[in-house]
Amino acid sequence: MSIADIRAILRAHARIPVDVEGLGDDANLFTAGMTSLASVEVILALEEKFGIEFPDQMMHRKTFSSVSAIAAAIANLKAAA
Amino acid sequence: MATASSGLPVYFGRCFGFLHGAARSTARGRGVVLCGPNGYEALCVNRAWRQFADALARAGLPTLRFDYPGCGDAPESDEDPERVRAWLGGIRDAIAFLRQQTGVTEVALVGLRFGATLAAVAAQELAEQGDPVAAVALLAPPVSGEAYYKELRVLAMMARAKPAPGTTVPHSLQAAGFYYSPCTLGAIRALAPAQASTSPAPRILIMDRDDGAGATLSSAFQSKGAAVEIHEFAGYAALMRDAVVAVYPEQDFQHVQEWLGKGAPAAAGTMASLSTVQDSIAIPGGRERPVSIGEAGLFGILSEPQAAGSGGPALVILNTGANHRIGTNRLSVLLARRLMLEGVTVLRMDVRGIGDSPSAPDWPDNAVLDARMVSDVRLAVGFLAARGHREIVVNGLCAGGWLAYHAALAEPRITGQLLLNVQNLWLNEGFDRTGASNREYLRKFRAKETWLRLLKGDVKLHIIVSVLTRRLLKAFAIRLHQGFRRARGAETLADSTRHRLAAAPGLRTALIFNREDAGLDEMEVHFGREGRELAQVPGVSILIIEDGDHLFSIKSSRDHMLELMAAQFSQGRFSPTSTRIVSAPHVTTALRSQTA
Repeated sequence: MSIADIRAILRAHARIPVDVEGLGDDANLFTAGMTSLASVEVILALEEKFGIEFPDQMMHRKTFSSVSAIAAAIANLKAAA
Repeated sequence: MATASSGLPVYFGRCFGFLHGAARSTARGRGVVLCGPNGYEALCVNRAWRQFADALARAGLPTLRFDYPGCGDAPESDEDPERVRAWLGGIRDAIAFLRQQTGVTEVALVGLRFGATLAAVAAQELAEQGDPVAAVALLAPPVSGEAYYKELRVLAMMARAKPAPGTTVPHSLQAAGFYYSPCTLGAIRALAPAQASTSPAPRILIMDRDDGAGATLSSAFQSKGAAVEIHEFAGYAALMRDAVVAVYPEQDFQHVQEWLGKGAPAAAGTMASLSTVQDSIAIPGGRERPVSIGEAGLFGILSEPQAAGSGGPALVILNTGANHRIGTNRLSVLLARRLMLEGVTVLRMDVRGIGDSPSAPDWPDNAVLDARMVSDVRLAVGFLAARGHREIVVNGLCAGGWLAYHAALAEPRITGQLLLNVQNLWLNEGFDRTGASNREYLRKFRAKETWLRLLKGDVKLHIIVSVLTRRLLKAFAIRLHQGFRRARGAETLADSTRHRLAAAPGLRTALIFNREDAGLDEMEVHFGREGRELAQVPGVSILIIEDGDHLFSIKSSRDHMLELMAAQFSQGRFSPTSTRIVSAPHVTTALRSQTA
């Protein structure tokens, strides 16, 4: 798992009106324009790419609020697997 | 029969739709039924779907687009039983109606998103019964009903506003403002076109959105003998967005159009007389019919109560943002039908450039907050006045409220305005409305959970403090500025609002806000706590609902708001209840991620 992979998924699915590369790892993706509908596609793409499934208790906006939050969530899931 | 600028509005079965006929000189013997997406996604694509239907008809393919039973402008509701069976039945009714009306000898289905799942299953059922469709195009299809269910579930969990635990029907879902009963969800999950024993059609096109669904479906249908083409749906992400910014996927839809036209037989049948088309439908409490408004040919649906006396109260519901007349969460349809029971005639309409109204010559499609649209509201008022209504109230949510307000002050025949969570009426330069509303921040500030998360380092409290401080200073500056202007004998924005409302003879105003709506912050900056300086104006009342979100996306708050709206007409006329705070339980707003 790499930050670059997460950013590639965000570029493809997050529909953020600014360049994802211009956002810092801690920048809030929802504030940047990612909608709930787009976040669904991001989540499904992350699951597909990293072979994981986010459990219900992780399914809230905070988990997917930034590149670093997503990376931490994936790392936690991988560590628990 | 009313006419629309694009397609003929029709009812068939328990559906409402638009029939886009082809010119006699170009008409082919193949018709197309467009099976639209479900829920929120249907709001995103309405105008693009209309444009696509026009393009298909121009290419000689008579096309029917429609709302499934309980969706859009169709009768029934999402709470009725057997929704999936009703939606599949809607597709069958659409095919039969298209054949009957246009004389086409064969039909192709085009399904978008969950509409693709429904189209595939409906086509498979028809094939098994020996009545197959000629071709099926699946646009961004989920791989199965189960996959779509998962999307809905995630969407529900990712929402900002969520129903409070224990306040919903167990195993139901509320996703982006649309309700799915356990029965509906069970039926959605059971749809598995890739597992069926037949292919939906001999020819299949899949416009893939790169989620793996295309390859799985293609392989399954090919194994049943279908010729399958997969094509990238490059414009999907730009299309499936809020209607204000949704972009028509020109190249993708052009490809679908060409694929649909391949091998289409020559026209053999004859058009049925359109006078036989059903142009209204019974709804509990009255009837609904499509209408064409004014010389601009604006599109609207008129809900007429059964017991309507001539000259009874009438309400015009304006667009919320660039969403078409059904409103976000189908709120405008629910409101029209609820008020019909109170004897109110309701016109839910599309202004120019939105929904099914024609484009305007002087402003772009899907525009909002444009004062030129007042002219369209005036057309609607004229339409209702010509039908004998003397009491005409305008209503809108958010940007719709903004337009209603400007129309009410410009058009003397408007006797009332009902503004829901209106915003942008009293903005000042530098007024900060990004992030949560003041009350939402304050609630979080007081919440035990916030402090626990603060101890864990999960919450950046300085963001809340910084935003609130900035807003407080700005509000103070505005009030100070008001004081200076008044001291100099000059009028402030607040003064001019009060004067204009007071000077409008007979105009009654009800402003309804959710307590945590940013529009309430905006009003309070200019008119004091809970807008008390505005509520002092004769004819103005302000109602504040304790809970709920900006777009009433939670069913319980939506239901509560509908009853509150009905109460404004409970005496057979628009008589706003006096300023007060009302309770609407069962809604919590999730902590906004910005503060995390």
